Amino acid sequence: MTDAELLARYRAGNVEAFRELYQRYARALLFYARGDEDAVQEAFVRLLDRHDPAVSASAQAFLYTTVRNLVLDEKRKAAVRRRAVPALVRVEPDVDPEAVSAALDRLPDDQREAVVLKTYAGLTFEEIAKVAGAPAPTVMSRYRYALEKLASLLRKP
Amino acid sequence: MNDIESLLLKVAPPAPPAALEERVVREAARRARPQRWGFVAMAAALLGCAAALVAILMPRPAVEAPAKGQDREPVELRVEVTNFYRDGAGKTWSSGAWEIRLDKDAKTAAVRRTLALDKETVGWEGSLAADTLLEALTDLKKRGLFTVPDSAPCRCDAPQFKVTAREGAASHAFAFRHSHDDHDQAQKEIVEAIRALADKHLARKGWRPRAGDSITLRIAVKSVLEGGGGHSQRQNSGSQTYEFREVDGGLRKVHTTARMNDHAFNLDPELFAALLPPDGTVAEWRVAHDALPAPWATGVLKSGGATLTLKETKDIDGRRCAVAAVKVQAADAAGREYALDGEAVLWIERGLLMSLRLSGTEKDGGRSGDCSVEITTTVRTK
Repeated sequence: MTDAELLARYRAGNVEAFRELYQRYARALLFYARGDEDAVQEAFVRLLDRHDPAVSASAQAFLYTTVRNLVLDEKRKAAVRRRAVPALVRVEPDVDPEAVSAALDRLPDDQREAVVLKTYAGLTFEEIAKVAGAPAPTVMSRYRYALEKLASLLRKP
Repeated sequence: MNDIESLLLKVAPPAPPAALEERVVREAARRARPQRWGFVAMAAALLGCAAALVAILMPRPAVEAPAKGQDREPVELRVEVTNFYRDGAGKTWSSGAWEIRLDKDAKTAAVRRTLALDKETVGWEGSLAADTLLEALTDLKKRGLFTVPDSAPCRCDAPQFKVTAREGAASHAFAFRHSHDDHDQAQKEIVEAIRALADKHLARKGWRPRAGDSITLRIAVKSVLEGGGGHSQRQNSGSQTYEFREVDGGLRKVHTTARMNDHAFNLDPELFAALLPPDGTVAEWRVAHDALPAPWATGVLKSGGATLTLKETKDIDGRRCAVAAVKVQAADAAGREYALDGEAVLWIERGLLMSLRLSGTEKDGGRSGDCSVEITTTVRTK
């Protein structure tokens, strides 16, 4: 079922349809927001308040763009405040999730964004470009640089 | 895909706190209101209210408890649902009906639930004692089983119910479209009460997925394009693994791994859910280009789409599946045009694509070549 269909069902009174939409995106969204639960909640609420079919059709991009803007606002208000970023969890046995989390956290924001949106949100480079407000080739470069930096960080003892 | 990309897929973001989900969903529930009331719908709602008022003011027949052990009139309760939907627990339902039938003087009533996509086999059957049914019937009469009018019309796509009740010579029918806010609560309560009574006494007779199962899906894809005169040959192959854990009757994706030679391609089973029929009763349905996953194309599809025609429903490896003919006429971002025919197998109750096989041609400018796609899903149930 598409996001637009879920939203249409929610607007017809089916709250469980919204829960399905929430569960579809909350995990990666919260990680992208570095654990900022308020930003994630606000993004979903703003999505509900937007009745534009174009927004419903691209709910995922709307959520990430909104979270991005909210997190940036938050940064401006409390530039030095650091949140406890949720650590990644192990999916396969031969990996140290804490090391990967730490390496991701050391990336510049725009590179972390490219990696998180590409890998965990499943967005294409074109979609990431819309969220980040940058040209797609720039996003691809950030992604490539991020992988190189992650490789060097994770190779270090 | 390089080593770092593989490494990143071996970890996943943690699950968000349950408290956040409850907070967000609670806020959504608070905001859930009918958004658009057209003039016609509003007028119809007012008429519905007027009808309800008349029904309240009119003298009602006395509600009498049936005499136990004496001559019993036949009773029939039927709730039909005519809109394919996914219920609150995430289970996929098609159109169908709940039926409770008590023959004259019988000691037990037969209970049945039938769904359109299951019509070849009766999935759920059961029985309940006549006295239990008659007690429930008394309560339903108090709620207005034989008096409530149709609910207010609603243009939303929620399930639409029709209730038919018979007791001896008396009969009544009403429609329940949907319940916005406090409207039509009487109709809603009757529908829910009959469904609950039936569901409580139903037992699985045919195959059904077991609640609590976790499943692992390995989805493999192979797409091959051979351009005219050998001018272009492109291939994409590999597999992605998705583990789903069933929570509260719904599937929740836990993690993914990928072994693809084109990492950009996404085999997420939720994408392929777009291929499912939009309504359990339709024989043919269309999937637009922007919802059609296309591992054979360059980038996303820009025009066209696929038409699916239901050929049959049957059990495959113990799973209730819909087999559909697929016809694709679409063009991708690079301007290549695809004309493909084949077959899709969809696991109805899980809402998953089990296989998709397509073959046909790719036209690129003046040249054309063969194109084939194979997607297979291997399911492992824990």
